[in-house]
Amino acid sequence: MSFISWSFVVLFALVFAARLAFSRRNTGAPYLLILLAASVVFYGWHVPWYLLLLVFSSAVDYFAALWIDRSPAGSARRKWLIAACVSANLGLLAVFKYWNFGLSTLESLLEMAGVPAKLPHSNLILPMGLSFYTFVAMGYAVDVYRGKIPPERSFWKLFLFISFFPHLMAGPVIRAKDFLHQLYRKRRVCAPVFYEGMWLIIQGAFLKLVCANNLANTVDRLWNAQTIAQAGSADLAAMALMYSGQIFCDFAGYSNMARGMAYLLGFRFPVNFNNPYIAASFSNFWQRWHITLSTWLRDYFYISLGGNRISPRRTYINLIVVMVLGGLWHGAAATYVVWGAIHGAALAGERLLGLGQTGEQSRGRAAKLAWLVVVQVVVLVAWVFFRSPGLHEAVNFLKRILHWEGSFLPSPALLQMMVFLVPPAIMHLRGALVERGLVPPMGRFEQAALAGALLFLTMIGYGINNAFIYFQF
Amino acid sequence: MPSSTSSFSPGRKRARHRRLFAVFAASFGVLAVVSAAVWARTPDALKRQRMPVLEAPPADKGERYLSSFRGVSVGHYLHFSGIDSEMIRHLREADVLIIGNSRVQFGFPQSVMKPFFARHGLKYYALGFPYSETITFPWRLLQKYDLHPRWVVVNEDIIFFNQPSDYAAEVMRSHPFNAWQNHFETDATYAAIRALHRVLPHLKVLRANVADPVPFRSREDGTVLFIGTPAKPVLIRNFPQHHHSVYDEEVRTAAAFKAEVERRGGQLVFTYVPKVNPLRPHAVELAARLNVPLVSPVLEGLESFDTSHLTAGSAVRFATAFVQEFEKVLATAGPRPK
Repeated sequence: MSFISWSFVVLFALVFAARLAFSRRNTGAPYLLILLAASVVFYGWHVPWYLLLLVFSSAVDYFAALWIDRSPAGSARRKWLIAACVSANLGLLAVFKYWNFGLSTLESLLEMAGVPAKLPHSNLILPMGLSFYTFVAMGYAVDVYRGKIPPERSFWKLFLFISFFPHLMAGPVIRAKDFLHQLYRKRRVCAPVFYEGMWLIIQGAFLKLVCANNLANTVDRLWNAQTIAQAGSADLAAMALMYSGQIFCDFAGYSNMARGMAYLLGFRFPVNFNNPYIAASFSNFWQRWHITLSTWLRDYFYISLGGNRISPRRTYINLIVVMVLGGLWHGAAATYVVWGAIHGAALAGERLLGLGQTGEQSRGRAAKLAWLVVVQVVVLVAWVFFRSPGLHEAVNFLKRILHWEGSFLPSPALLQMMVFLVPPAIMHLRGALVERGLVPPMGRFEQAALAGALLFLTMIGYGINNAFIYFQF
Repeated sequence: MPSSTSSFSPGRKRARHRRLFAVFAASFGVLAVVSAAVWARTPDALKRQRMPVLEAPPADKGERYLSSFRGVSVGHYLHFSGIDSEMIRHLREADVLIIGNSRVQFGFPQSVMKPFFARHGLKYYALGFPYSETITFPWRLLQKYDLHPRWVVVNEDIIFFNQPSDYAAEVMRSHPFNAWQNHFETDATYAAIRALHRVLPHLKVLRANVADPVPFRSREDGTVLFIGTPAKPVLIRNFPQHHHSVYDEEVRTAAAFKAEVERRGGQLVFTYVPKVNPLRPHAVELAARLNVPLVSPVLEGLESFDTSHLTAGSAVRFATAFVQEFEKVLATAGPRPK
């Protein structure tokens, strides 16, 4: 079920009515059961049998965590259990997400070796949200293994943590230590929480329905081999810029709506986006873009590989490996691998050259500004790979920009659609000014006025394309 | 959670909440009232030509249903799931099936087709689907409902590929419940948008050439009635600008389809609904290679509203010429099987 659907509006209205009905009463268990039932309906809405995978993933992590807890610290049994648990989760991803990609790669290699072969490809459909909930579930088991949290004794509470509908399909990637304790506290509806939740939902809906959907209309229509071969360089550069805006508005919009709904239901989710296009370094970009995934990759992959504790050379390799895996997490395609490799290489290069420090005394203002431009251009180039259907198309796209042809301005039709980049640009600019203390953070009354305006603009300016980009991952 | 406001007394808290809500409502209300006033003063022509949704009827459960809206093709789902038994009954009873993509939906209006086939005592059903549909999806319907039409007319504009559109592939993997979901979502969205834009405009009306025709499909014969096609037509010229080669895969797929139609007691006929960048030579070549009759009248002065689909007036002209030629095919047919 998508947030942008009438079925979801009905479901959420029912759950929120339950929240209001149970307000201020010690009725934790019934309310949590309603949330669980809503999550099951939400996930099973399109393909009910996907629920079995969700239950399987949760059950594996539930039992693994209990058995790990019973095993002595440092014992071989404990290590075997966590290895089995991680393998089961990654196995799900391998079967549903990477099987065909692996076979196609193998076929290409065999063909290059002069032994062409047709391997049996799978017809399985990728279950929605699989990449997200396997990471959420795996993170829980690893945290128990590392002794950071005790195991959850109640299966259905763990299942609710993994399947809680606001984060189930496209994150944020929630940590058990941030969420499970919220199941046990008394909750009451209070006005500030309601305002904050509504503000996030309205802001998210505006970013998604108005900015992302309208940008998607143009980008989806034009991003094809025929148009790319004929369009001028300025048009292609504009399309890349529009896609970078689209993916931000789409995903940040979704994350804001998810956080807002969680607030209204009495839960707190972490911030997932913090004006990423003002990042002055690659490391800073990953502290602002899909924050819950980048911190997850850092804590569970990068640190497990040794992080920066072994040697400088190993640190660079670890950065590249983690980012390539991060790319592969997005999808089973060479374009995502290249996207991850670009970011990994950029992070390693930045570290090697010592350009990552963002402190006041680190570099001169001009040097920092120049590096910010480099960072954002590289991010934009990486988005071209992320969006393109294949490596060949992405390289062609970039080649055509580099060998500049045509006018210096995009066509009027594109310029007209670029108006939907203005709201995220203002949002980033304001964020930068707030961070530098030049303007104060938005107060409640300003938020209320802006929320009214955004709601109005959403009602008159929504675009057609309702699918969330990150649902496919 | 956000910081507590417990330092305020309950009365002050309530007053603050009321002020916050008033600011929110005032911000929304001022913008809404101003734009509604502007919208109300907008000339009728602008409203009607650029927002067909306002002119179209509600998506009720009568003879016609809203067949696609905002990227969802309900028609795909309803035909495949079979949840509308009345519609499937008409499909099963059809003597003539007209298969193709969206150009079939625009090219064969009911006003021409219904009286013609009624005169011949035949039932027909138009199986045109949007999203550049290939033969795979209607072929699957032919098998699924065990259809035995006497004639299958295929609009041959590069349709014979043994792979459905991405949309149809998703539909063919879906459960009948998904059909119901999509039907509900589409009708609810349509109702909400119709209600909303009677009061507030959509930003689209400020841009030219933005009309989205609203398609209503007949349960009885599958023809589509489009409400609100844009005004600026493009002339279709009758000379081949592109001659796509006929691929071996197309010939193989078309031959297999022809064999299936004949096995079911029918005759395969090709047609070609004109568009800008015509592909008629492709249809002529494939028809010749498979020895299939091609009913494809060539008319001067046909117009398309979007370079791909006929305008309502041109569709009537084309369909009238088509049925005149198709009459010859009917004349060569043997007696009606029992």
